[in-house]
Amino acid sequence: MGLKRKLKQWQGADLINQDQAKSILSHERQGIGQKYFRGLVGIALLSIFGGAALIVAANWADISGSLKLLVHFSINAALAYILWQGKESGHFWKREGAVFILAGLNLTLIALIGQVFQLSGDLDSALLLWLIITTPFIFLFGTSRMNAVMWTAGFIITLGLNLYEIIDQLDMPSYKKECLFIFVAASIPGVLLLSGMNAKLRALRPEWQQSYILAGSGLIIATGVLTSLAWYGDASFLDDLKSLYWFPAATAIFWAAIFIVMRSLVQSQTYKALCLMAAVTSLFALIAALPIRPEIDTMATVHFVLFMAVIGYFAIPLGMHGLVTLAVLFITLRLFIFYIELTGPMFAMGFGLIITGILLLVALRFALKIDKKIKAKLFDKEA
Amino acid sequence: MTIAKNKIAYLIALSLPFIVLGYIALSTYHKHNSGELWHVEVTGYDPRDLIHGRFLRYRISWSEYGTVSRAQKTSDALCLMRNAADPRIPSITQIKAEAIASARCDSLLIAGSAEDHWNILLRKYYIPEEYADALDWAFGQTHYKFAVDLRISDKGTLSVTDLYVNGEVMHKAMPALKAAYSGTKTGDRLQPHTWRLKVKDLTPYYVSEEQNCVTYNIDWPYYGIDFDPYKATPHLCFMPSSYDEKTPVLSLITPQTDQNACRSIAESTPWNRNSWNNHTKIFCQSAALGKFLIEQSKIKNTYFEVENTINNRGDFYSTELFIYGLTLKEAMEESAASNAP
Repeated sequence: MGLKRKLKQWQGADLINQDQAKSILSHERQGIGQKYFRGLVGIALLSIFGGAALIVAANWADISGSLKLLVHFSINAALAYILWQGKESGHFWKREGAVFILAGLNLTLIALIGQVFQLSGDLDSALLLWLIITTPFIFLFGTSRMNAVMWTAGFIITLGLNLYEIIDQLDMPSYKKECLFIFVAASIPGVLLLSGMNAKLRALRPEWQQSYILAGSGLIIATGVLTSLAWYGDASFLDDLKSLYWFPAATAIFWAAIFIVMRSLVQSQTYKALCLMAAVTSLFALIAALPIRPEIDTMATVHFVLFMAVIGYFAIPLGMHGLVTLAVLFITLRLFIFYIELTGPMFAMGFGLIITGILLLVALRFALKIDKKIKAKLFDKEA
Repeated sequence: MTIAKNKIAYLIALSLPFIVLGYIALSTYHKHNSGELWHVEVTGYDPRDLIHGRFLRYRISWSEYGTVSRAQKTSDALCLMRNAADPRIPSITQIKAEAIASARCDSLLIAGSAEDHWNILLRKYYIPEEYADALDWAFGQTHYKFAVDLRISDKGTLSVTDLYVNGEVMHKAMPALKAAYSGTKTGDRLQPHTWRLKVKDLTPYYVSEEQNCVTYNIDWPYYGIDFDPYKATPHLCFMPSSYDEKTPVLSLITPQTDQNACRSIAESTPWNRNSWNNHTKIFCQSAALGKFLIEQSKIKNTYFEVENTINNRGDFYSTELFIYGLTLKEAMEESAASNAP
């Protein structure tokens, strides 16, 4: 049994004593029967819902549109009732589960209306409508991480799919639209991160706040990584912006300044580190977006490696050990890709492949050693 | 800040999706059941990708009912008048935007960028997945006519309601259509078959150091097939001859033909401009074989054949060229051997 082996290992590592191991084992054994029972109930429910879904799917074309809509609206209403009951009775998972399912059902209902009335809509507009109509109830009723993550993911995807189209409808020259798009897209990670630092949101919806911080930080890191790719081309893309060629650089400076100011305003050390990381990322983006910069492909590697090193550095005070490992691994892989870029034709030959494989193994071993050393230092510090 | 304890805020938030989606459903239902009803023909939008996902991609054939330009970015309107013979069928005149106010029409359709305007080319019609293959096939058959019902509002916009196949609403027409489709997929015609056909008029088409191509025509009269190359043709039935599986006995399919007796059927569809003869007839070879091909094409009265594979959708694919029964490579080797000192 897995647990017994684990307990033995923990005893061997002096993490727990024999009595504690016995207590853990006896506690876990008590729950075994219930676990099996819950599993069987799950299988039974899955069977019922799966069967119902199959019957509906097999006869989908024969069911009239109005009946489909009526049934869907009824299911939504039932879920709304369960949600309300969950809120009134204070039943956490009843409420949170109902929020999650009702949010999903609203999206399927939008799709069904489009299908029945041949509205020919697309995913972008369906998601936009979904976000507008579900945000109030998800925010008011949903307090769990599950719902916070669902909304945040939905928000980012919807914005990503609709942003250009929304801006494109504005009555202004195309180069100004491009600039507006750059500014709004570049501002999404910053706005999410700053919203996550809001003390009121933290008091009101701690899981939402966590979700904003994680999404904002993730998008900021992704932005930094993506801007390194700009070095592969020249700065001619700025010509499309005509007289506003300086706008991407100004946007980067604007956000760097915002985060530097915010760093002095926030109290938490974690937030200070996050603000500094975001400010440095903005400066990395600025370098890649400068109107006058050399066209050197190697800079893509330098940019990436330096940026990931900075991310690894900021992950230490944030206690994000996984991110440190990821940064070390990404740097290693990026250097390896750089090696392939330099020795492309050699890579295609037999000996080249063998040498490449050996080099990758050596590089990964080296990376693991560095990672272990950094972590050992971190653990020492924390101890 | 604390969340408003007021139950009304919670109730409004919870009921918002019901209010908005309910309004959309009811208003669309109203649009589908009010306004002027018209019946217009439609055609497939892109034969390579007609059933895109679960949507049938089509365009309305406005020009069937009057002189209508296909300009997508037009501001012109369409003036629809009831046809005396069948009031559901329109007679259409395209009018300038300035003339809309003074136009006397039974229905008027204005231009715009949303799908409820007349000038949007690509339209999508949701179809159940189980209908997809049969509809895809039927859109390629000349004897199936597709049409939609339109409701045109007082505001000059349209909404598409039902799809019709040969005058019958889709869900009623589907059983027969699916049966017809299944009928084409039975027997040996499920498998692609390769036929060898005599060809003529080989003409160099593309000549370079790397690659050489010739165009050719299939010698249909050799097989007793007579047709006008500029007109739509009936489907063509291929049956193996008694002495060779690859050599065909050909006949044009008539309503009396037992199609199950055909090993392959080359189909005439809108996608090949209504004739199986319109498939691409080009044969290419690279390097020395290419040069040999060009040389041979210039020799008069040479006996050429082409192997064509006809797949289970009735499409032609040329695979190999033969000279006096030998493949091009064999013919080149034989020619080199006979020219050797």
